[in-house]
Amino acid sequence: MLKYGEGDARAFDTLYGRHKGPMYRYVVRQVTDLELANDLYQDLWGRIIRSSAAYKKSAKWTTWAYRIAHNLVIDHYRTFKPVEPEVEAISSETPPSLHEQKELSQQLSHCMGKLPAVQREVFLLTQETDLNLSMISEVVSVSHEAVKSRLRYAKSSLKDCLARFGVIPTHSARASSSLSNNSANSRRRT
Amino acid sequence: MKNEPSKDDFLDKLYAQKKHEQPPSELDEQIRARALEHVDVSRPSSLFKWQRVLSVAAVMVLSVYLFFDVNDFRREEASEALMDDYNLVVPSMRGVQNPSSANDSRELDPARPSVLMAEHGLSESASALPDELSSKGSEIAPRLNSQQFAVSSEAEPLERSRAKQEGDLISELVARESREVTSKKSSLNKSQAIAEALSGNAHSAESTLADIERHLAKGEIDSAGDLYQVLKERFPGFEVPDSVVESLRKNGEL
Repeated sequence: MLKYGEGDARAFDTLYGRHKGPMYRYVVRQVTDLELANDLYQDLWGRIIRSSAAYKKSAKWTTWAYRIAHNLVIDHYRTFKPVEPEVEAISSETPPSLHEQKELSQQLSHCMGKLPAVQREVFLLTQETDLNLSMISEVVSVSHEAVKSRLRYAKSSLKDCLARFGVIPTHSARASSSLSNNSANSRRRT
Repeated sequence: MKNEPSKDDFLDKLYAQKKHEQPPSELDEQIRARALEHVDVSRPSSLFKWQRVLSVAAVMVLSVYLFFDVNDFRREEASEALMDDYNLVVPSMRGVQNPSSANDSRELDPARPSVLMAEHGLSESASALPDELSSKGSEIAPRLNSQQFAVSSEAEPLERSRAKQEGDLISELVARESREVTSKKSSLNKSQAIAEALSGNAHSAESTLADIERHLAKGEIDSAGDLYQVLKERFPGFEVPDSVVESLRKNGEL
């Protein structure tokens, strides 16, 4: 980014090639409308390009860029209230052997769509980037503990959701769910 | 998750299967084009950068040159002014010290040494003696030596008296200059006094009279007389004290 800031256009190509996929998925999976997601993604890179001169080496580029993306998505949420997609639940009787990889992927997408936005964002950041929890906390402007908690709830909810599809055994999902509930209850008590 | 101790490998693996989504290629092209455009707009070309550097350097060089040029000009002006002052104040001194001066016509006279010798009481034989001695050879060398000693011992008081004469001349010239300056100053004072007396409301008859008395006290009779004339012209009815009139009359100003 520093090289691009100094006028090296090829440096941008390298940077873009490295980060375009994760960043695109980060945006697309938080915004349900694909066209809108594409617009946001373009807007995001526009902002990154415009702010390239302001970027300093002291900050990790990924943290800096995802912070811009986070702010953009927040602005989007403020403007448009997202509509949750209607996905029909697959009956639990459906044998797991019938699920193809594509279906699994769709189910995960559905389950992620059901997550609260803040949990989904943290889950996406852990999956798509190499940021640790402290860096993620910088990106989303919350404490390290809050990020940790959001991630735990996100995973628990995803497992519950996927268990309903029969993708994962119900007992493991319940176990993780009860773990989450226990930790939540203990936090409430304290 | 990579950096947290997690046992959620299943979720990670499941999500990894979804990591194939990429932005559409047209979006890629648009973003790359925008990035390139931003570089072109925001970053000056290397030629422009050099032009800027060169122009700044040229301005700096010009500034330094002008600074020194102006300083030299001022120094020349100051030295010229000093030379002018010097020429005005001691023109005759230069004439004395410089043998090529036109004031000292004796320097151009080929017979100058003999004249000087005559002036200072030395005989012609003494000046011709070295030639005579050289023709007679070594037999008269002791005599030549003794005569040369005599000439040099006579030449010393000659130089001394000449220096004294020149010193006297310089003193006289300085005194003359000083007298001229004093007279110019007094005439200037006189003019100022008249100008003050003539300059309308600032001075009354009493103040003019006071000026006359002041000049009389200083012995500047001319100025006092001129002021008296001015007083009479401007204030015909004003009575001048008898003592003033008397002293002016005594000095022939009335």
